[in-house]
Amino acid sequence: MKISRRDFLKYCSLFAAAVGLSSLQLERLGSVLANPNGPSIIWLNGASCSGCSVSFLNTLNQTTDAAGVLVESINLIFHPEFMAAAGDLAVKAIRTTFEKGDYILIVEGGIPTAYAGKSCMLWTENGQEVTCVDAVKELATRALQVIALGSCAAFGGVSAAGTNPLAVKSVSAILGSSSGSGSGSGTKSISLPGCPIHPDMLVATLVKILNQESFELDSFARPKFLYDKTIHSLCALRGKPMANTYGIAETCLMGLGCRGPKTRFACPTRLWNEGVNWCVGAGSPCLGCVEESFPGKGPLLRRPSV
Amino acid sequence: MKQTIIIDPVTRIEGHLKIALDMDTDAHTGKNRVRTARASGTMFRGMEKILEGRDAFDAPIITARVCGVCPVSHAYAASIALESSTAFTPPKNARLVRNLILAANFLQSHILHFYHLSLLDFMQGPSMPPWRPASKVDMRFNTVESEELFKHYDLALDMRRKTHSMGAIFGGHLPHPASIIPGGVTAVVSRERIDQYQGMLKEISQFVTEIYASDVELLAHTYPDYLQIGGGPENLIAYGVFVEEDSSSVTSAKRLFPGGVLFADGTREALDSSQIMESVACSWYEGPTGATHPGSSKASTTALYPKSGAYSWTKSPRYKTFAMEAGAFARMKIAGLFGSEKRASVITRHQARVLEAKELVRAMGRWLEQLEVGGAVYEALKLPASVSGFGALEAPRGALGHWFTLVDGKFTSYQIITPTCINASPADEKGLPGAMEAALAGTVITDSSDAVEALRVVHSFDPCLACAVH
Repeated sequence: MKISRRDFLKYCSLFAAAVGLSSLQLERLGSVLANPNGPSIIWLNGASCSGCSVSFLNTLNQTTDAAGVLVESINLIFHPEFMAAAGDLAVKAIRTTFEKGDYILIVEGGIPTAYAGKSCMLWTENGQEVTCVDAVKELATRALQVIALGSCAAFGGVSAAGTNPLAVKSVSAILGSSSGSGSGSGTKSISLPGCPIHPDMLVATLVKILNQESFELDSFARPKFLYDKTIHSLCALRGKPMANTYGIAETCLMGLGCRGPKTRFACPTRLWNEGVNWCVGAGSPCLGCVEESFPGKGPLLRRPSV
Repeated sequence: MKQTIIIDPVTRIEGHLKIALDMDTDAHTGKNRVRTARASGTMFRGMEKILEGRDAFDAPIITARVCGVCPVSHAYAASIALESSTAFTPPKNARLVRNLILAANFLQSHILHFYHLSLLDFMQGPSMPPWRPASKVDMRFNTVESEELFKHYDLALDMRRKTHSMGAIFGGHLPHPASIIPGGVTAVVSRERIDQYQGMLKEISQFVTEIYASDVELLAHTYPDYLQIGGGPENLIAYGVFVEEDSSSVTSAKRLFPGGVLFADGTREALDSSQIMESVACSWYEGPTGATHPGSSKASTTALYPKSGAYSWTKSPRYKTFAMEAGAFARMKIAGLFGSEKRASVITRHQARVLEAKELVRAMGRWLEQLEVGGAVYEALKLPASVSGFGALEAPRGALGHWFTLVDGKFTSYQIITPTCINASPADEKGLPGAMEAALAGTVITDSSDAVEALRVVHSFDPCLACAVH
């Protein structure tokens, strides 16, 4: 994970087409990263499965490693899976960063509000258990940017499905409001839904933020440059014979309830896991996991007529 | 003198865990020794409740989201629970493809666990976040060894990613595989996919057998005292995993790592799933004082917070009345791959994962050869509208069971017992501590403000709290 700032720039230049970075913008990124007081990241896990953290480790590009990119280029102050420190030492790191302000707050997972938030307690500080809802509210006040990572943080997702037993809310619902990009306001959040996230989503967004690039958000606070065309419009199986059962190659899965036409992300061209495959590529219908309607009431899969 | 220390958050795990240690301080030596420990799962999502009212075929998709580190095990357990309720035998290719996706994820989990979740309890990384601040206690590797290990930490990031890519060849994407559904898998078997998997497997096998294995031995050599630390109850349980023959019941089929029960006194038993019980005496849930079988109509997961005497969102699974340990160590012992000389400890749990990884890379090559290009991967599963069932296998962290009741095609009950629920459970109604709590007792803590010795014990179980509480 010894990635130099130069490696990160190389990574970004390879990535530039996907992110839409010009050479001038790359240069600017270089000077941002050269600043030793560059932004810190606090990454919280609420009601999550950690799948977005794990997916983040699966970056597309093989020349460098996304985790390395982040930790070497940015101060990853708090991440419950990757940080060395535990207990008071870890909590102190958050407190020090909070006092300095201007960090990026990443929230993975939904935020439970039932039982006064006690179904999600993140740490103990001064003998008191701190709930996720309180931590997010407090840490957002001094954040340069808040990122709601994954469908649970963005919309509630699986953690808020069905009867939503823990009264899970999204980050924007907790922060009450306006979502958006840009510095200054501590309560604006960008949503990067996905179940799990595609690692490109986070890397591309962080690059833009570090570079102080403005970018447009859609009505769900998702960056438009990422959540753009529908899966269906990019799908190589569009127009193929309609599938009526599973496990048959070269068939259009709309016959099995594929949500590709209503789902905005470039899975068919970005692919997953170093480009080896994606859901539809493995014969499985798109579940629409980047949309607010995921997972909904279901059924998520259409059973073949037998 | 007595004191209590709290480690919250326990980091380098999956999910939310708090550890409280009651310690006695020896007046003469000044040493702190853990008398009792309490493990608290501090996050609850209610995944079982979320499944109520949903269509049966949603179960693999929703339960995969129980855990981002072992989603394959959940999707698979949900699928076989439904399939075995109607004595359905999936096609041969489906069995093999499921083995291959699951095995890739086992390797992913073990590599992540040793290098990225555990190693920093024994050595310091570079002087920057997220490696600093860090523990300073009892760091024994010399500079050369530390530098070499950290290079492997870095290489392991790459290898872990490759294991996921390998699994995604048939899984669609990982985490959260798309292709495991009731009735088989959705991914077709082609020569290209087999070759692509084979190519990645070769590289990963080399890493496992040459680097991972020798690094664990270096740890064992440098910290030999940890062969005697972190034992626990030594009652071991495994449901068994990696099906080797086509069968409608994966719990009776021949498996690479068989199921069973092995008690501390050496007694072996066949697994009797009716003896799997859960207590909520110290958990924030409604429920009877005694233990309940997860398949019984009384089983539920209804929160009750606050609750007198409770200290965790994790329940307390027990086998008969015993607190059990699940995981690779239990699997290797029950399979007979670890002999009687191997006792439960911090070191042997790491050694068990390496041994398992070595066994797996061999078996994966065999399963690839058994695949039939173009052969059936899916057969429509006809479920009765109302039926109950149980699916069990192993996640990387140990025994995993799903129990369900379906009425008119929708779940009226879904109960999940995960390995970390077994390992990191709170005390039961009789006051019997969970395996991790018991393993922590007796641990000597040099510096009560930097209790790394306790973290070594906790991490040796590879706790996954999102699973445990779900």
